[in-house]
Amino acid sequence: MNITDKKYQEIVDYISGELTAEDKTNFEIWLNSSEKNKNAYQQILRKTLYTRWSLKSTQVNTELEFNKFERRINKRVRYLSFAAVAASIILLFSIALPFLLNDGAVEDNSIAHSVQIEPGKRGAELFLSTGESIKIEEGIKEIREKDGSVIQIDSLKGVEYSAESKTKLEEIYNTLRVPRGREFDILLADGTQVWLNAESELKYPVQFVGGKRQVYLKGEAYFDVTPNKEKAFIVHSYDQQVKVYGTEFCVNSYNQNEIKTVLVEGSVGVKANSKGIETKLKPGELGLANLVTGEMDVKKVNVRPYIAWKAGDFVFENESLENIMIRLERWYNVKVFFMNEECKHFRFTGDMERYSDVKDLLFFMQRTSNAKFEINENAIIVMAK
Amino acid sequence: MEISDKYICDLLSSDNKQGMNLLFKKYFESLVVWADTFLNDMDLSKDLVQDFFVKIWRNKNYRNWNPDKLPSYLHVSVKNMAYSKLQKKDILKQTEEIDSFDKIYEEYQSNKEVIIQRIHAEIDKLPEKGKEVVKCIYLKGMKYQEAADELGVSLSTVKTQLVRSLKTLRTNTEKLGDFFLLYFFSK
Repeated sequence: MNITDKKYQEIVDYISGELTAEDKTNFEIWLNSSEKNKNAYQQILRKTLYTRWSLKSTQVNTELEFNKFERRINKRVRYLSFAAVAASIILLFSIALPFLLNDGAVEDNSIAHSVQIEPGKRGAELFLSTGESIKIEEGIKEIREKDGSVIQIDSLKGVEYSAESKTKLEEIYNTLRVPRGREFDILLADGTQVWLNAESELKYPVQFVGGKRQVYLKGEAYFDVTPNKEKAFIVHSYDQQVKVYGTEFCVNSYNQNEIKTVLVEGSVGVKANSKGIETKLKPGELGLANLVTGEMDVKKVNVRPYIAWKAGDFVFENESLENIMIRLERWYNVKVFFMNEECKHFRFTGDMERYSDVKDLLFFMQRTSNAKFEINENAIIVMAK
Repeated sequence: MEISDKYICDLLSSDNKQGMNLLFKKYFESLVVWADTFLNDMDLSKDLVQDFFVKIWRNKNYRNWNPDKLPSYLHVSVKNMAYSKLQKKDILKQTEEIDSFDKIYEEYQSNKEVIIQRIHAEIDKLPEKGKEVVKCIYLKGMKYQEAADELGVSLSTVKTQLVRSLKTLRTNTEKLGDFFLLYFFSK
């Protein structure tokens, strides 16, 4: 390509849209004056477009977008039923009444406010062994820990640790903190994948050097543990310990007085505290740990409501409004106020997308119960009708 | 293994949802960056291509698709949709040579994996400064002045770094060109 440096610059500037109107006209005259000029331009254009497309393609997470697409084309039945356990006949009356009078539509006005409450999105903060912290919001980064391990940080794909470090083996810890209104996932050095829900934190060794693989969780996480018979994988949440034998499960320790462990696949042993006896869970079982007494309560459950968040859904089965609103607080990063205590005990069953507008859910609950919702700035106010 | 367009069209002609899944996974990403070429807004581009796929499925537009024309049908449709969304916002729209984009895009689409891999490897080799400038302009879609502000350098530094980086990439893209010739003739 025989063009001057100046011309090269001009072509690049033209493609970038950085030429003045006059320069642009002159450039186009030059461009159209010969085939040779056109070829030179085309070569540089190809290069800039390839570069642009290749770089931007990393910003598209096809898996995630595909899930979104699936949800859009599958019009599932979102809301299954409404179970009024605490509420009595009076409540049933008030549900029926608006329908009988056919004025249910009037009610949604009270929810609708111009303020947009955004659903959660991906993001986290990573704390290195040096105490340095890195905010993960967008883009890709690669860093090296002091033991030589390589950490790949990709806002879309998650955090990933290299399987080996270069220097001598020492156990150093990193912490991934996911704030309210965020979720994130991480691939540990042994290949174990962990999904962290909003307002959760996981502390883990950069390389699993010792005889056990031990991690520390606050909040909620879903684990897909790489099997390794020689090195047990142990999840500590406060005093509870879950010992894993290669498996998929979810630990919810938002409420320290009642840590929930749900087993999806494989086998785990749970100890409510260091002195407790290990209780084995089978797939489809929920373990409720009492940290004070060291006792474990095990029951058979439908696992979906416990793990649906990982797949981008909100599922609740006969759950109290109080608990539902706590979950909304974390995911939509809002504050919830109950004007009337009795509303806390209303129970609902439902299934919705986690990424959708919170108003859809509030509207449904308002239509089918005695509760009324109002959005005010970044707060949701719950009151009795 | 690359899924053939013929296979996708065969599945779709019998309303098989699997065909739609494969279509999405094969084309979504490159159609988004294609839409972004005109819109310079990745979120808007993702929404646009989502809408496009939803429409295809709902309206059953796919029934009589010709597999040979599939890539160009998809990319022309997305281009038209992007055009109608444009509100004087993009720079590229004003260039006269917009049609040459189509040809380049088709090449990109049919050799995507190789191109992406090479370009990333090449960018990794650039000196730190050049890498930053390239990312500001081509990844984040910034104007020169915005890039200069972001990196705390002068406008002319941005310009020279950008051109220098592209020139370094040039030899390699030319090699990529040879590769294409080889690739096309070997078929």
